[in-house]
Amino acid sequence: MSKSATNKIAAIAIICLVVGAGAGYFFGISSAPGAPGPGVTTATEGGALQAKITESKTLRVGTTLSTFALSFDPAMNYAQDPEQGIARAVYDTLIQMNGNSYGVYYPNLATDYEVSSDGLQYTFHMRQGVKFVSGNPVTAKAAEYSYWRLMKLNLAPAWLFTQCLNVNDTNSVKALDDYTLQFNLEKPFPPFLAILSQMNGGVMDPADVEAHGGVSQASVEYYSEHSGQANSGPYILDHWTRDVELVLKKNPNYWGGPDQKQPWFDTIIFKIMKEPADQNMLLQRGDIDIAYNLTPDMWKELMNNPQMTMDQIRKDMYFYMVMNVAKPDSPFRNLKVRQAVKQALNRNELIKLAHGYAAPVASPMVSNYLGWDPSLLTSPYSSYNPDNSKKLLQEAGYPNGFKTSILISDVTDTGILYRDLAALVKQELAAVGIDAEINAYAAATATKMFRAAQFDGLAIFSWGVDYTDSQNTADINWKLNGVIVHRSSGTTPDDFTGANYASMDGGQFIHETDKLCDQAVATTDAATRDALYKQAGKLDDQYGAIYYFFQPFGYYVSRSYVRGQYPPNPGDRLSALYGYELKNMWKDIDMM
Amino acid sequence: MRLIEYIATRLLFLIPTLLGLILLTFVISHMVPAQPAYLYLGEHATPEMVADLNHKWGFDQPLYIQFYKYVFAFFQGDFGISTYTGHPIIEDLELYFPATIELATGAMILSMILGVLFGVISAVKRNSLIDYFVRTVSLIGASMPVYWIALLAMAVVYLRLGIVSPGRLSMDVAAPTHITGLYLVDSLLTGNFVVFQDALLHLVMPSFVLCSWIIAPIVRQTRSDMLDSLGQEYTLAAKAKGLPQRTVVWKHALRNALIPSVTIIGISFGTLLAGAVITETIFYWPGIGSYMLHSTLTVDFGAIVGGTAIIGIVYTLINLVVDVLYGIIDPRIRVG
Repeated sequence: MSKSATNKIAAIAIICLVVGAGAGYFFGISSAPGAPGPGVTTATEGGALQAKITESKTLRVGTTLSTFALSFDPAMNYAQDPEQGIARAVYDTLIQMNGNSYGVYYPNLATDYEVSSDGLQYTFHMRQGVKFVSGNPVTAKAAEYSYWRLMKLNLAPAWLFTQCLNVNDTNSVKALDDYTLQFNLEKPFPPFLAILSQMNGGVMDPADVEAHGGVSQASVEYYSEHSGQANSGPYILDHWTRDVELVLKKNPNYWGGPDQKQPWFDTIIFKIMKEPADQNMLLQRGDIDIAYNLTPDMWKELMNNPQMTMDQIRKDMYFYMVMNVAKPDSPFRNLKVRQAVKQALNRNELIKLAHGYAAPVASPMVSNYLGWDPSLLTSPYSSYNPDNSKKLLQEAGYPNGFKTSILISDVTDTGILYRDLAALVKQELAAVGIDAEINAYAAATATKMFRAAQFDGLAIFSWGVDYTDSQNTADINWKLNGVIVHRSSGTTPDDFTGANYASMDGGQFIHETDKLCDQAVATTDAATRDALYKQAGKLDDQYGAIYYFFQPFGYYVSRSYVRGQYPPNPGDRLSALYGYELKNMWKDIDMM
Repeated sequence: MRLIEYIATRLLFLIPTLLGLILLTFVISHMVPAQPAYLYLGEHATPEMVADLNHKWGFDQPLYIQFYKYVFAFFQGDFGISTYTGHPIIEDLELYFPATIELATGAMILSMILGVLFGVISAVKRNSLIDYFVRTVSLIGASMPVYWIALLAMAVVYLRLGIVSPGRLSMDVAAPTHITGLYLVDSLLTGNFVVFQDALLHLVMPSFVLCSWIIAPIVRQTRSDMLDSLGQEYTLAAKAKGLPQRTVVWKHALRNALIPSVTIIGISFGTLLAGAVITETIFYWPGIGSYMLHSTLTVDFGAIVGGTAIIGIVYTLINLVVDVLYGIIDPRIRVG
């Protein structure tokens, strides 16, 4: 071992021993971020430039992956940011969402597409000359194979396609010729394009897939952690070692995409770091280029640092609280009680848990989605009004309030600890006389209880959209078979809408919102859809058994030499779901 | 009983111990009202999809049949398939466990050296300033939460001074070819001394942090036994013979004082294995702690039981080694 290494080890030993004594002093000094990490070698000017160029060809990202990141196979991946962004840099889709505008798509593997006037038939014309990593051509037959594989495997994301395609009809997806692909939907379904544009719409090379097991679990296991030669995107998923790292390598056969541009980075390394403090420190030392999971206070601390580029984006998700109305003796069956609960809660206080880095919502239609209705934030039915809340409880026959419970998962979600949120809710409910006991369970247990509506009173959870169309969130909250409706009302809609509970004050409004959702999905006119979802939102606000808290922000911080992560106007970037466009990113060596 | 017979008997006892451990972990983990199938299949899974997957995984069978099948496969080296990673659990353990072993061993070696050294110094310089200092520092180490010390060490050693980054290796150093999974060993076996140096450098800081967690009882035990030993007649006799102080302390007194400390050290190794999760998380050290944490959150039954069993086996083996060490340290003690 060299003398310098021995000295370093000795130095660490001494420092660790006196760390407690010195800590106060060190913490008192303002940080000096930007110093190069260890291992930087000296070189001549020319050599230094070459070293910079080489260094600039690798992007290092500190991140966690979500609990749901089980796989990067398009037939199994059912995840959010950053997994979507990673997977979309690997698998090409027919079309891509325009990062600046919902509902606007631009070509990718398909040069153009047509939708029949009845909204049932989608025909895509595929680009010629595109090849997979294997060298095989990307054809309509490959796309047909990929979508059938996803549906036949029937794993987590299969429903995205089978909700509008008949899995028993071979005409549902068929290649008309080598470069024409046709989808025949069972019903008009405008969100179909949004689904095709996310990574589950990725096209794979049938030859490579067959070589790894074809339509089988074996192939899913293989493609969970590698892309083999089955992809045509700018990067190859070299490997994913869970809890350690995920590495993307430049695709040497990349066709350049619609803009005929090659990616800058040869390698992108996602270091899986669960501790935000680690990400923060490594970013400040320059050992990683992007930190993906900083907490709001860390974000705040780095805000004025000229060596950092801050990126804040509203996540496509929201926190909400469900009142269980399944049991006949539930106080929440009384509309006045539901409204009293909503009016007992001060959204502006609760949002402070996110240090202000969240946007209040009063509907599941989060900002910029069709149906987003900021006027509901001042609605008389759900705005903070503790005096009226007490009055409503009195009128409902609960002058002294009642006892209930709050089911939560004992985890942190997007920087928010459910325990903290539940504690504040408990405190505010107590102010109007409702005594709520917090029942915190491990995530898997709480989720199971919630899904089976096995809770007596209230439950606080969050929901992230499955795809960037309002229909997804609307159906979950407002359709008779919506999964969140079930969690409120029991496993069958009749619990909530049966004979004993059929008035508008009761669960009848769900029938109304159900119809509005059907109407909204039957038209492609955005203005009409927007109006219909707003109408449903108003009914939910007045009669519903769900309270919506806020939409959290994502905080991403990059070293300022990292460029290209934004569309032309960062403020226009709407969805965090898709993550960064890794292909367009690069490092400015003059700033390194 | 000869030593070899003693070891064989102890190894045989490992089987019922393991069976009990597996039974306990298996029952507890399966009692949790959670469905891994929900996590695997997502929010929109139909009851049919969940039932199919439960059938495939065998979760629809009575618990005693699941247990019987698990134990049968376990003793054939098959720990099942992880529902989280999709890999055979034994392969996952081969990947993650060496990282923990390396970290725990590093912490153990440091604890032994520093713990015994401080204990002896403290006893020899009884009630002096140095004694108070050593006892205070080790008490502070034991009193402060590991995560706090870890963050503090990171803030100073890495963020301020930039000496070494968290993780098993520097960002630009590739892992050595996998042979044992222990980077220090693998890099030596492959003759890759740059990696060896880097891995050793990265091991020091988390080892120190973990060491601070267990050093206090070692210091206390060594100090108290040394005090006792230094007052014994054989020590006085050694002094009377005119032997140098160094020989009296390190050869005569320490050897007799070490036995209780060895017990503490042995037990601590098990504690380090099971309790390294926080250190692993903060130092971005992907070991068994991180793996089992994720397994627990995703209700990955096989991985929970498999991981616990492996820790149990190592713990039992360490206890055996400690027992054998008694005889080596103090020849008066013979197994039998």
